[in-house]
Amino acid sequence: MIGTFYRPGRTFLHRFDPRCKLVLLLLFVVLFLLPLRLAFYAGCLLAVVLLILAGLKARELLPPLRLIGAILLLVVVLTPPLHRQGPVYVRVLGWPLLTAAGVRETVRLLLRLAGITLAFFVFLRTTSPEELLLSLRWFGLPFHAVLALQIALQYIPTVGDLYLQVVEAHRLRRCEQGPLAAGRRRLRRTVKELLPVLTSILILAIRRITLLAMALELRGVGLKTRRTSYATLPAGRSLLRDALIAAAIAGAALAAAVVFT
Amino acid sequence: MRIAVVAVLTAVTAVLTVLVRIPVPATKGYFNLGDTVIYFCAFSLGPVTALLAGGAGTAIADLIGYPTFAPISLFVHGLQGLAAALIAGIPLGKARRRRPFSPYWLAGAGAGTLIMCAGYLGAETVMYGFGPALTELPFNLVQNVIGAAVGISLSLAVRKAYPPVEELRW
Repeated sequence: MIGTFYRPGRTFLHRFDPRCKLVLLLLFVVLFLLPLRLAFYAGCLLAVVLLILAGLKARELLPPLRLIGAILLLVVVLTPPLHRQGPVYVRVLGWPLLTAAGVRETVRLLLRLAGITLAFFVFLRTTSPEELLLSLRWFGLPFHAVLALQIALQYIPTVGDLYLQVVEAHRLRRCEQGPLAAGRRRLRRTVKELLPVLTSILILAIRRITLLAMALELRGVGLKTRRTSYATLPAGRSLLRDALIAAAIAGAALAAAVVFT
Repeated sequence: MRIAVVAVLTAVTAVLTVLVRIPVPATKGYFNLGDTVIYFCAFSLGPVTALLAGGAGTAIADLIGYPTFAPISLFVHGLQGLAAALIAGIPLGKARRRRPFSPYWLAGAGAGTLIMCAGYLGAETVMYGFGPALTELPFNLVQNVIGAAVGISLSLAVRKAYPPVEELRW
């Protein structure tokens, strides 16, 4: 019912160690946010696009760009008038609408947003939520925090089903009382109608907390001598190989960043 | 018990952010209910739950839809819940202690709104410039005001219908 970006596969991107992917993602996001030359952003974006084309399919480029399409359009429309330095290309009623600085800043922001979005997309498309959580655990996130996140991810479909059941039950009851659901809905009316639904969902969800806590206790969570522990991600040669590849990519990116500063 | 509280409320925050969308006929857009659950957590379940469930729940919701915003949501919504809960939790005088509603809730909601709007404006300005980021400010503001209003009503309704919720405060 609630889908994630992840699609299982056997490409080299799927098989690449999730910890190395996470480090590279963070590095790319930071580099995209640094004030560097446009050529650097373009190079980074090209690298991410080539990665998608090599590991996934060309049509995989469209969904993430479609998601941020409206924001990209806003950037194109609203950024140039805010930057008035440099030669003026277009002037409207004496006001410099399009300048060299405006064009440069617009291109920078477009490349930055597209680059960060595509980098996140490659990561999430090829890394399962379980791998992400195990990587975070490997990097030192506390056991209890990972456990809470894991349970939350497992509970999302349950809570989603609960929401649909409650909405259906309230809709049936409303039909008995009168044709409230028909006609054009207004914001205030919608909010008013939602309140009893939300109250029911929250109470039903909160009632499950006690059962869940008991189940966790029975499994020994919270005891000083642990009965269970998380699986660990593979170490050894595969990790070493992927870490070396990641280090080479990171080194090249950092060297390029220094050159283009 | 605390793990269970945070886990379930994180899931509820994520689901209500992704699934429940209130249409706005004037703009053809919609509001989500993530802020409503954050304020509910802040007023009924305490600062730690509001911080963790608010931040993680909205970040998970963003990972499902708009992954670029997930780190921003994690910090901004977490801080929003924490600030709202800390201010809302300021004890009242003896005479007014028995009332279910505290005027500090409004101050908490105000602080939460301020943090959320300022946080998103700052982060979005860095990501895609001041102009586009400014256009989102009114929507964030209205979404927060609606979220706070529904969150307060929801807290009062849930406390009345299910008093044991008070025992889960953290």
